[in-house]
Amino acid sequence: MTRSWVEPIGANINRVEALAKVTGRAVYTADVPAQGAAHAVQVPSQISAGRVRRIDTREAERATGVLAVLTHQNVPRWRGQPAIPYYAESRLPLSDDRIHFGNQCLALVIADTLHQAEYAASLVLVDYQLGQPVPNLDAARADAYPPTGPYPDRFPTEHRRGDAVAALRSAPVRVDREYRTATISHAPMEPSSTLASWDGDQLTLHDSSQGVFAHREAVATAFGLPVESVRLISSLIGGGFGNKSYTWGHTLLAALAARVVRRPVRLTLNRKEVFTGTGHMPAMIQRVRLGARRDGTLTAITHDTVNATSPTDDRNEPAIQSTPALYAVPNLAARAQVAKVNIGTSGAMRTPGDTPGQFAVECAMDELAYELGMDPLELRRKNYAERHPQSGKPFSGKRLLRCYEVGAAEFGWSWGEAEPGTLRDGNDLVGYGMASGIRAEHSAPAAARVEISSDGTAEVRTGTQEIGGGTLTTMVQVAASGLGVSPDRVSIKAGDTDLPQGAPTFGSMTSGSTGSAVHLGARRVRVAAIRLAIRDTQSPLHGAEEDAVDVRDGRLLLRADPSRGETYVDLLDRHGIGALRRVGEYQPEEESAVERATFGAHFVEVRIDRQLSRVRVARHVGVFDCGRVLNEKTATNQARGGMIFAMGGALMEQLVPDPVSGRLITPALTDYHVPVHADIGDVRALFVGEHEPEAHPVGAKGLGEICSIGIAPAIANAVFHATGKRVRELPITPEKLL
Amino acid sequence: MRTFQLDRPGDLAEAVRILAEDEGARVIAGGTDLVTLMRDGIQQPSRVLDLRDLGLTEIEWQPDGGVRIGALCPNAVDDRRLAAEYPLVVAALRAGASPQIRNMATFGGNILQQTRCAYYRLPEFACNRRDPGTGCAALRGDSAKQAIFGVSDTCNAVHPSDLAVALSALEAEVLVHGPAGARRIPIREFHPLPGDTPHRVSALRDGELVTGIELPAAGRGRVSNYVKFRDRASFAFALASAAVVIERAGTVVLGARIALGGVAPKPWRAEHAERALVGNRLDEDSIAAASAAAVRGATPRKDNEYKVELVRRVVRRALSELE
Amino acid sequence: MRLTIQINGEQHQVDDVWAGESLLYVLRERLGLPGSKNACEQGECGSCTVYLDGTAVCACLVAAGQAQDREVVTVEGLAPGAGELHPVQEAFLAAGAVQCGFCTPGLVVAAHNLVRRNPEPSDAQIREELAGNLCRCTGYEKIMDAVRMAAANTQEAGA
Repeated sequence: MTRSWVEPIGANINRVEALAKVTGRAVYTADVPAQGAAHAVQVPSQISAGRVRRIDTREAERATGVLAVLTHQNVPRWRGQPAIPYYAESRLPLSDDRIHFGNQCLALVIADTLHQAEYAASLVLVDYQLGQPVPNLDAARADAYPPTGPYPDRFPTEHRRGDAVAALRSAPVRVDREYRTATISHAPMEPSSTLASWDGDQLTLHDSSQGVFAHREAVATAFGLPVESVRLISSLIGGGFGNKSYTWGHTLLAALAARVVRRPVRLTLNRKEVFTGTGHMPAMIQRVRLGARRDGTLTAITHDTVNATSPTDDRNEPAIQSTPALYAVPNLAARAQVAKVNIGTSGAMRTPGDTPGQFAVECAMDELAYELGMDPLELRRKNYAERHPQSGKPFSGKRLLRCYEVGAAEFGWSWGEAEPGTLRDGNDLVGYGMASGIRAEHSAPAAARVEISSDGTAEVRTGTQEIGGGTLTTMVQVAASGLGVSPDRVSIKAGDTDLPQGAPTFGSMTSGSTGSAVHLGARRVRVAAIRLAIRDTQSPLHGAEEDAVDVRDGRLLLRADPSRGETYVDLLDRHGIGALRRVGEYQPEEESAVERATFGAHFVEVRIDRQLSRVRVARHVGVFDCGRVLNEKTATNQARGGMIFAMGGALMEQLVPDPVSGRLITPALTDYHVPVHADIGDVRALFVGEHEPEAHPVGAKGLGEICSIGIAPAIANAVFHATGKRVRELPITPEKLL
Repeated sequence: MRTFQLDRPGDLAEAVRILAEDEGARVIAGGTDLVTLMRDGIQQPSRVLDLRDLGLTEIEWQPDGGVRIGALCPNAVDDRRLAAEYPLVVAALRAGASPQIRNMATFGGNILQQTRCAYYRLPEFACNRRDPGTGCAALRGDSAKQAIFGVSDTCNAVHPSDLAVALSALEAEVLVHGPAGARRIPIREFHPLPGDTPHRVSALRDGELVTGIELPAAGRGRVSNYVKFRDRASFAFALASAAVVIERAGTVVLGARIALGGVAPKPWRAEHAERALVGNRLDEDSIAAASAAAVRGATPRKDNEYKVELVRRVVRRALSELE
Repeated sequence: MRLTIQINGEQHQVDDVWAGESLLYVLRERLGLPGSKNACEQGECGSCTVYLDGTAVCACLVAAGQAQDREVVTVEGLAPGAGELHPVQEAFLAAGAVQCGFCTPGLVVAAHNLVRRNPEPSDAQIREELAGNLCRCTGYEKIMDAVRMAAANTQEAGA
């Protein structure tokens, strides 16, 4: 039977793991069977600042089934300090009597069953010495300062070019505004879980991890072990969004507990612990100043940010990182500061820095456009940067103008027909807004082993992780394309440090980095097979030029004469080769002649009931340049999801601190509102990217982050158009529009 | 682990006897509230009575045209006549929770559900309602979701039920049974204001339990509406809601009942607003007057002041949409 | 307590159950049925949706004691037979309504319940009826597609 050959990359194939997911058979970390595992439960701090004066564990220790209770007083010492950020906090769990935030872990109870551990945890008595908490960013703002330490080393706190202050002073048109964003949470559906077991000095960890290799290193360091002594396995992940990008205390505690009780130990977080102890996007206050000529030419931009950070770490949210790349403006000054608040350490959340940073700058651009009486889209075109404005280098590809063009056409963008606050439809105020987004493209070294077997099946092995974006499926497609076989012949093993090192599944690196490794591995296998055939006198391809041979649907053939050829199966069989395998290794360039980035443009229609002022996003067109789209189905779905994710942050999500203590009062999904089905309007995601080998060998760029940047400002700008009121604070909840 | 004794009383008398004898006993109906409260340690009953063998699920139409709904009738009730004659009740139920929760939750449990006040639900905060006499962290804390009517200096929590708001506008009666037999409690007396005893969440006496809810017959010319405003499109507790019931003869309003949700420790009857309507035609002027009068007596704080305006608007919307 | 319960057509007796623990805990931890997911523990997200005596409920809000002598159907029990899929599952697969998949089992049961009770749901009905099932990945649109498709397929299969 012959089938028509369809190029696997770009094909709308179903997810490889979807069958398991719809039947309930898919295994997530908390589902990994563990005979004889004990259960660990954390004892949370009831206060947000102070010390443990005394902790009484006697009653807990006597409770049925309890194996151990660990506190700062009896916990074995950590053997090393893992590097930030892959271990997120510089303070390791239970290392002293200090309390820095509400719900911080003060003790760990390990028992035979989860219920026994939970009950015993309630019996631990803590005598607190209450400190003076700093409850929120407003209280801390006056003491903001430039951060130091590993986070600012990684995310620069200053960018400059030209003389922004002078340029602002002489600018004929100026905008000077302050923008605020609330603390928000990844709120993935799956709470993180860890299952730890020791065999001598060998540790095996099942962990909800978006980066098994980076996290293995963090764990090994804390236990003073060589990395080879730790195997980290990440099953399917129930949503990441950065929540599982860094290692948090519970992973180390589970491993420690297993060592203490000499049994496997499972520790699954409850929802409150997810909200309080696994990072968040911190609250921010940002000031943006723009200077422009009357024709809309930008002459200066300044961007000053301050974000809440935990008592233990100076983590600057990198909101200024993309400001230098946005527009062709000659004078720029950007600076980041932090302020200490009694809250857990923040982490990377989709999309670190760029979600809040571009909210501020893209709202300011809209304000400037109205100031100038100019179409906001035209203002952006006017200041379009063909090359990277800071480095002067060309982009490997930048199709942002195309994003504007396609998005404006699809949306029917036309500006200037209605003054702000004047457009009505029945009882609704209607408004249109737009914004653009940019995200620097990151890379990491990655390796993948690809093999084709003599039975015609193929396998990919790479330590990447499936967090929901469709990694397993797209990697299968990339391998299928490289090998020239149908994707249904290809299987994949992933999420395990025993496999070749894949890139982490965060920072939008999967398609570009791991994808390139798989691509290179598959191409190497294909080339090896072609060479084998053309040198083999028994092959129909004997003597052919290497370049003249193509592979389709598992059959090597002459491009010029497709009837001449043979299958992988016949070739390998004849040579007695069970499987032909090669490793593909992708190594990002250290110094590059090009800048790599992804781009997006958003056009939004909001509708707001005139009396009951909840903002609804009725229409949203997002257009993205993320290079070649590997799978239209998974990409469209991921992009729409990212757009809704960002809509939630713009309109409803906030972790609210109690104004006295700073302890969160919304650490539950009942109170931390994320969008539901009924909140969704007409959302369209379109792609204009093309095969871009200058970015990465595979020709694709990241999508998971660019799809959530630029939405909040587009919505806020549309709200202004609808109401005539500028809301400069997220989320735009109803009371702000009454 | 925290243990409790689980009983399944075979009849009402047995249930009442246990409740009267054992102070630590609580009833479980649908369990959608109690299960989480027990898991979080907010409530720690020593004994739990599963009422499923008591029946109490029937909808019984009364000779006078009123209806009696069993306390254990699920909130997912699908009854044509109820929907036709008391659309307000069905609208409030549908606005109240997801289908999964409505399938389990009961009428009795709904009106007895505990506040969603974060300070009550999070044991690390002081709460007079949860632990009498320990103080109220909400009074010094974030008030954005707290009450603007009926607060005391011990508690400013909001009653979360949508159903109770509808029942309040319908002037329902709560049927209860206790050691002294059966009695009826008008819905407006069922939920006490916090005063000095915020831990008392209902007018039930020791040993009493709710057996049903009775709705008086729908009068002629009656129209009603429920408007619930929340910060997302569905499945959230009200920031403010209004249930309105108007009886008219021709164009003149003979009777008006307006109950507010999400703004008080109990379903809040906006009597000033009702008075602004009675005897008048229902038109723009009277609606404006009623919505302005609806907030008389409100005592907002800085961060829930928006609820005052929101109340005006939900009342106006609820009245404007009638017909 | 000893819990007697029928799950996916099979009778089970489970000893030493705490009457206050959730049905979800019983399913996942005691009976090895991890399909129903534990995500919010408060009935908010719907990831643990199962049938209890034929009505869809959040298993995390049902105390084990309440489930005594009742019948439960979980996502694992929806398919008509081994190696087969229910039309709702087929639709989720074909529509690409699955991403991280953690909400999927609960959504499949909720969608199954919706289509069973309302064979021709309007879009507004789907959005409202599934409001108790949170999804953080997909933006819901493909889930809508899946339910529309499931409704159509079920109609066809029944015709």
